[in-house]
Amino acid sequence: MQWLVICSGGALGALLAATLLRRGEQGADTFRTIAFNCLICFMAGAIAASRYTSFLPVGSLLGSGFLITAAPMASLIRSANETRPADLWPTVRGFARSLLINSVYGLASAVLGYLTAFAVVSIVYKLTW
Amino acid sequence: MITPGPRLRVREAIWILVGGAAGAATRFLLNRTWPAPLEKLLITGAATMVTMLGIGLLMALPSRPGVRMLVWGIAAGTASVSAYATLAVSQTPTRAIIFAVTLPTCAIAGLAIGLMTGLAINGRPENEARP
Repeated sequence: MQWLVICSGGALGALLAATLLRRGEQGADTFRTIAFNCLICFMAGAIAASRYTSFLPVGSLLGSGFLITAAPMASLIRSANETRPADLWPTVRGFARSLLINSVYGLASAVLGYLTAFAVVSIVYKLTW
Repeated sequence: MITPGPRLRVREAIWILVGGAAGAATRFLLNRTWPAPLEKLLITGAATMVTMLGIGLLMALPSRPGVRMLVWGIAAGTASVSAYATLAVSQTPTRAIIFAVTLPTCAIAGLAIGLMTGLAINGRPENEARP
């Protein structure tokens, strides 16, 4: 059952990422890409923190699957469908730059999500104690 | 791999769904099988590198759209920014820094190796004009 839920979430996340890429709303070096990846990382961080608490037990597997596949590294590659030798290093450089930017913002968002989940759990615990 | 353009066709969407499910399952299986931090680092680094190598190969070699979509879907699960960020922030500070540096390095190296290998296999002349 766990597998089915994870796979469903993963499939939906990949489809969302691909749809956004096709519509031009995802892609390398755009503000929207960074913002979208930050949002996904924030939620992924919150779900990662929820594993250590009793917060959000239902749906966290579905959410994990969805959030893992919704921000793929492959979406940061700026290239045509068939790469030529002259495109090799510009493609790698562009990918490295995009990955670096998205990693910095993504890590910061994941930390924020992680801490937010813990804060919410602590407040809820104190209010209900 | 996937560039802005017309809407996804049903067949493409199905391949992406299958690939995404397989990628998420692979990630789940890897995390379950090797839960220790060092194992996670090694396995996730290897998975990221192999995935990006596959993406690089597909970018350099001619392939069917279905295969591209399937591999892209799998790559979404096995090499993703959110999984990497979550993995890094769940560790102790020293380990988090090691994760944060190692995984993107593996991804970049994997893409470079995949592209170089694909281009070497394909053997296109360097000065071939773009269509």
